[in-house]
Amino acid sequence: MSTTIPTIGIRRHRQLDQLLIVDFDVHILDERQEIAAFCDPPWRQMLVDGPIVPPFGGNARLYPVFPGHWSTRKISRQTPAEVRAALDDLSIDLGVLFPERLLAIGQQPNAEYAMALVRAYNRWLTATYLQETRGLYGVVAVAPQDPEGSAREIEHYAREDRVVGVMLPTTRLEPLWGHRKFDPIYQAAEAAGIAVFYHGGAPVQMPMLPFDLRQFDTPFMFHTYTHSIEMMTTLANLMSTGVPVRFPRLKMIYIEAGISWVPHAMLRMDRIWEEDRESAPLLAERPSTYMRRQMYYATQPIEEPESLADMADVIRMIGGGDSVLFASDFPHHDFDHPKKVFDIPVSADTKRKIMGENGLAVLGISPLPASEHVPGKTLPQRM
Amino acid sequence: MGQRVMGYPVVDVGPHLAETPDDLAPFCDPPWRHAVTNATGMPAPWNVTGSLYPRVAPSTTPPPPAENSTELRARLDAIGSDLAVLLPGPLLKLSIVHTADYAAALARAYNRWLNERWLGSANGMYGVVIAAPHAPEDAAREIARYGREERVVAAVIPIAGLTALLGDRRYDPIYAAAAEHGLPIILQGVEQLMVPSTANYVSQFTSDFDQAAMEHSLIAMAHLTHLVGTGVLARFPALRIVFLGGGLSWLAHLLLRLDKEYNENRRDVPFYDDRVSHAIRRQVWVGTYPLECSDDPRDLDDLIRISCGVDRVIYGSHWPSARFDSPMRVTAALTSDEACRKVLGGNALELFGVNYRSTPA
Amino acid sequence: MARKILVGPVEELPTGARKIVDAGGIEIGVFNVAGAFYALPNLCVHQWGPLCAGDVSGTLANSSETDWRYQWVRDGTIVICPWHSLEFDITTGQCLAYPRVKLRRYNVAVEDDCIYILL
Repeated sequence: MSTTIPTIGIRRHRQLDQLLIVDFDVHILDERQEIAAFCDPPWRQMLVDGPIVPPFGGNARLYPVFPGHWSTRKISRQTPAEVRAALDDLSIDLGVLFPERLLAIGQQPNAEYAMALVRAYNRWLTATYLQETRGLYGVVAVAPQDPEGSAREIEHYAREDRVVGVMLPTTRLEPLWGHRKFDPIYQAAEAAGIAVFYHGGAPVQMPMLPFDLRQFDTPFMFHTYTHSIEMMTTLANLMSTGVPVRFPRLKMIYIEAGISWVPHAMLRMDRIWEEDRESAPLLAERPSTYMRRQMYYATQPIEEPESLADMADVIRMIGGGDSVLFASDFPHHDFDHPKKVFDIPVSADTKRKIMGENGLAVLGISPLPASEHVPGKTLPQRM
Repeated sequence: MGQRVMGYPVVDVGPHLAETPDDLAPFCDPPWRHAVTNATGMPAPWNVTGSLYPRVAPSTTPPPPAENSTELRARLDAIGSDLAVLLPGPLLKLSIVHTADYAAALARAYNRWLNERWLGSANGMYGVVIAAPHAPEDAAREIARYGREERVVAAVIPIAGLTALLGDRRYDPIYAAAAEHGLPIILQGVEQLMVPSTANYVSQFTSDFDQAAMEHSLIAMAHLTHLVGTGVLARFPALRIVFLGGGLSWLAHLLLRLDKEYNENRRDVPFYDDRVSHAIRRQVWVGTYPLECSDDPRDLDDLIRISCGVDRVIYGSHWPSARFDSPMRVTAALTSDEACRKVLGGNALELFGVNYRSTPA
Repeated sequence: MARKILVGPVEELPTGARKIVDAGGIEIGVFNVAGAFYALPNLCVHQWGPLCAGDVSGTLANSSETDWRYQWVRDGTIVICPWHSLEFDITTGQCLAYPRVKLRRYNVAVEDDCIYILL
């Protein structure tokens, strides 16, 4: 579900104008027509005038959509300049770009087509958004259907300017990302020194991860039982096969699932591990230790309890904010304005970290050139 | 013993029984009795054993179950519990039985056996009757039948392996009966279910670790999402739900997530007048087992506060699980006497309507 | 002394229409609901979105009063924030999701066939 957020009337907030803000989830529209020119034959024809198959379609809307529903507000074509301008309005300095359609790449049964699509996306991304647009960074798309091909794709972009990671989609995944067959992807990412970003996709009405949503027959239900379910399940599987141990330099980042699932995952896995270490034999330390040391969690959709101080407690449980990264998910229907995260009553230090300093460290961009800042924004005193 | 040591009663919700085909056959209606008798000496048909995942070292062996109430009483004294609410054992996997009438007959047999063999004497034990989700009308009759018994304090629906999520209208007779008779409904999974089912696609996991870590939460979250999303809590405002067996940190996450979704999708759940967390906090309880605690003593208190609140948390040992929790484990993790008093016993006494008078020293 | 902000001629705002005006630094949305005018701040309490730019629509009800069936109700009286779909009753400012949240309303007057907001 992709919707456009009208950028009329976005107000600048003075506090945000004094803060470096790094956004770990900005979506760009990778429609067929956009990437067709970058696609190898014979698959290019599919993108020009072929039938619409996953990831570009194949998900019927199976619930009634009433007037005024958010899914009726469709994302419109955006140029890099428009994306940049919208982020400026939100006081966001840097943005990490993610695809829209290719979030569902795992749904495509044909491995060759899937691989052709990710190649096309990566070429398009680097030729357009990552060229000459201030403060926009991207992740390499890969196809879980072809781990070796994906590894080569990662190697190809390893030294590309502004490529900061690899997107591992968690929707329509079988098996889960901890499976040994995916080792070539982890090897390539670790060797390239870039992070892996786990990102859930649009909920799909098929019996697969996240586990058959058909009974959740309203958006309220299926949008609850989706992104965080995928992240937790993926993470548990990574621990099972020891991915953080076997790839100790690899950073793993979890996008678009909020953060309240993280304490649950930490506490639950720690208890299981303490009682049955044999079941995750490669782990030398508690799962939560790896989760705090090697993993990061993007805030969107930030939970909004009646007392925002509850989120300060959640952040403390995760490890105090060092692992938390602001994300907006602009322009999706459930995007977060940066001020909502900024308003969480943590210390000024922790706010600076969450909103931007952690991001610079994770992306390996430090010190940040002044030319990368939002125009008119006060430069941060401390970075 | 708890009363003497702690100064307040400890209610254990609860130890598990270990019902066998031999136990149940005499209480089972024909023709199903013959199938149960036939199962004597074999693993019970509902007790799917074995794992999908190989392992080099064996997992911990649980202690042997108690064979009668005297033995169980002694075990409870050793753990430190004054009162206990007894939970089923193998029949917590009842929902994987395909044959509806058979499942209903097993539930009725268990309920009779429980009342005759365990709840007779004044030994501080209470029980829950099984409400077989396969046959909601029958389950409603069981609730009506036992709802008057002083020693029956709740009904349990086994949720491991339950394909149709709990918001389905087919379950309405169960909720209506429970609400009418004032019986809370316990929703409980099992430690590890190897049968693939809704929210439990075992083939996705690689080892006992990820399957054990995720299964309970996935199933509990699926059911609570469905209960909230279909309006069950609003349609049955007197209904009280108790989630047992999966700890409580999942509830903190899900409650926050559901409130976030409510913000944008109120039109899907117009049964509620306010945040859905309000309904959850009124009507949902959660058990501590297996207790999750970190190195930071604030974490458990905060998780409880963020989720259902300290008035809704219930201690349970789940003995004879290999990983059972003693009362000491829980009191060590809570930071206030008031929280200990409530979690260890006060909340359960109120929830189950039990009057406790301590025995003289 | 009350300030009058001109919204425009009455014909500009037929039933179902809305217009957002700048009232000296604050934006106000003026709606025509069944022939009557209402004015709300163009600022959503949730995340500061342009509330009054959203769809004007109805909503769904489902309660004991509807026999637990979904009904489409209050057509034309609800504005839905275009950012995160919070619904507000245009005529009262009441947020449907949160009983304790109610927007302030501005008085609207019609003089000489022109609509004014009174501040």
